[in-house]
Amino acid sequence: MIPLEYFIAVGLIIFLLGLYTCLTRTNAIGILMGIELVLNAAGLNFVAFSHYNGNKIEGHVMTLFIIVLAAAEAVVALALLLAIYRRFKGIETEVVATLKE
Amino acid sequence: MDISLAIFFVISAVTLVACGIVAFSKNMIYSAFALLGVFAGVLGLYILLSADFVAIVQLVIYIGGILVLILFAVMLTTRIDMASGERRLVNKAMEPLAAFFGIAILGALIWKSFFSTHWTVSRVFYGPTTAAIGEKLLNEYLLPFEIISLLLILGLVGAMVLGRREVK
Amino acid sequence: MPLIAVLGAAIIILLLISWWKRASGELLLIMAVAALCAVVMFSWNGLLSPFTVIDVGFPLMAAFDNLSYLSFIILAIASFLSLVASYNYVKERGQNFGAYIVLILFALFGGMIMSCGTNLIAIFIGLETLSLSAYALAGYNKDLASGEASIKYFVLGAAASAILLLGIAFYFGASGSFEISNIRLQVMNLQAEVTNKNIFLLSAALIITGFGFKTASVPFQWWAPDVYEGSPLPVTTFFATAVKAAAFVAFYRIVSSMIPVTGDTLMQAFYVIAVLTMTFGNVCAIYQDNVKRMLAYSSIAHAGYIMIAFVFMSRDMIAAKEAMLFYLLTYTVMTAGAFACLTMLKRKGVNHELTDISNLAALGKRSPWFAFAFSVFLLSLAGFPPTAGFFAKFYIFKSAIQNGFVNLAIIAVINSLISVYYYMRPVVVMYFGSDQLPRVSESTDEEFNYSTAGVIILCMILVLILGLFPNAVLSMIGM
Repeated sequence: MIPLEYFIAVGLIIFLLGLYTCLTRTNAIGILMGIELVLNAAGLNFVAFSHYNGNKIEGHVMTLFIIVLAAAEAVVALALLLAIYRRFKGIETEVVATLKE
Repeated sequence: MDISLAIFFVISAVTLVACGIVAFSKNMIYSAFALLGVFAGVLGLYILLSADFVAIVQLVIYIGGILVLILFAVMLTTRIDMASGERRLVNKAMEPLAAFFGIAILGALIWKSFFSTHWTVSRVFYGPTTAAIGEKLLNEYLLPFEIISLLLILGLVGAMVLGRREVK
Repeated sequence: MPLIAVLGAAIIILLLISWWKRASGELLLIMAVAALCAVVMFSWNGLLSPFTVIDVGFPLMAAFDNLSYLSFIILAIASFLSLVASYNYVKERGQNFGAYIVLILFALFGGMIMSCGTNLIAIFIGLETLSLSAYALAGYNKDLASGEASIKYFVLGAAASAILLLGIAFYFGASGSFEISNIRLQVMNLQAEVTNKNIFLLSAALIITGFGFKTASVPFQWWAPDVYEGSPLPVTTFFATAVKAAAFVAFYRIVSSMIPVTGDTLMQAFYVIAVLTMTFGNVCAIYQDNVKRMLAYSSIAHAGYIMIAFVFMSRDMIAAKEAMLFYLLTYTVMTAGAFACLTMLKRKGVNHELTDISNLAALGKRSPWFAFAFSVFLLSLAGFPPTAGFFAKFYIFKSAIQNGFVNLAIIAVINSLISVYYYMRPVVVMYFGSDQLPRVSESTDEEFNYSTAGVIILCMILVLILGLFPNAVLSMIGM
């Protein structure tokens, strides 16, 4: 049997890598990918915890909600990115920085 | 060694390598394709955790839907040869270093609390979950279930608002 | 009931605008306003009725106690103000008002779910409903700044929700459930001999990070000035009032359930966050020439003042709740008023917002009433005695001192003194600035901005009522 810690550790590593991606990418889609990684890490943790707590189904339900949510967010993100691209001709974050610091 | 443990190590290795490519690759296209590896790896882990329904949904929606959307987004907004994944934090150069240290410190903290925790495992159960999930969704979690459907409508409205062109 | 009213109105308007293309903006606005009035009335009834419904399980997962009713009222007022103020704003830019109303109502619905939910799943989904509408609203104008605000808000907001989600995952791992109720956690704490305490603290840290983003508290505030500046003005009003209020109320609920387990550890974290937040907001606001951006920094500073309530929460939960709600109410009213005043500023034939401080020059001579109203809002934000802002601050600082946080109260008072400087600057410019600039006025031309003027008058009345009779409102909150 696989211990619970292993799953949590994998989840945490995915989370940290996702966070790193979010922080360092300049491309907005890159940041979106980082967010997807973090969401996956959270989903993995939910399922792992619920499996090792006597198969509490709540965790699975939450993971389903997360997946639906990620879909909705991706739709909005795509619309947003295309709108931005039309206006700025690029989606790098330094192109999209006209407001002063 | 247990066979399931071996499978677990293989799957998580694939997942983490793919994660690394997403995080560190110089090319956005590679990152986007590596995302496939991450999603598939997490799917494998779900199966190991006997979460059959969640795994199928992951396959259909994440790999079938979101990944395609992201690939579209990459290809629509950047020419393939220009799609460099050059990295810099939102404002200045030199900040990947700062981000890296921040993440490292955070990771160390999490790691510490991770090892000082005694993980209690009450009961492990392998079996189909679909029926139970359906019951939960229509009983206890009816309200969030309805709201999440609203969220999808909202996603449509939001995409429409953001995507429409200037009226004038 | 309040939830159903908002949702029903949102869906009816959505259907109307999709089938009946010529639906007039006035009709839609009236429907939305009727729904908001219904929310206020139902919540008022609920507030007066002696019993509270706390339905943890099926089908609601919500508590209808006076915290949620009062936050319903605050949220409804905030959405009302930003809806009505935006009527002319949207119209003169020729945009689609229907979709705007729908988005605001959906956001309001999400905020209400957040503030009454007792289950982390419900709270999280409410938060996402709120945020998704907010991303779309931020990009409502079709200019560059609005697009930038929208993408920044989206990227950081989505990252924050993902982090919050991981926090919820650890909460679930530590407590085995998504419910937030004191009893369950206390029992858990007694029997589990704190084996899970570390993991619980980890989850608390992640949840604080997530909500810190949403409330724009200091280590996580970088998005706020850009987003507030770039978004359309009425939308900025909505962000600064309704989004913030909903986030604070949900945050309060979650933290109050965590306190039995974590004890004073969280208090120290909040102490640091509160001090940093208000200092950062106030110091940065001094250097701003753009009034809108200045108000954004001031909103960060006010988040810091509200955080004080979280510091002494582990000592006195009731006082913290009352102080926080009163502060949120007054802050909503005065910020909405100040932003509405900025919306009034416009020049004939110019469509972008005029928010630079130079545009305010000599308004005191040209339109004395307008200048007077704006000064009242600014003075109230700075916390001068006869206005609402003074009592909100006074009450929160007093509770802090009573619970033994004298140093914190002193820091907060020094911060308020700093803030007087930058709030007075626009006032000075309005009354004593020279009139060299091209003519700017609150449209003395053909079309007077009735809806916004109405909002200003309403806010004005509320600010004065809250300032002159704070006891009445406080006793209502304390019921």
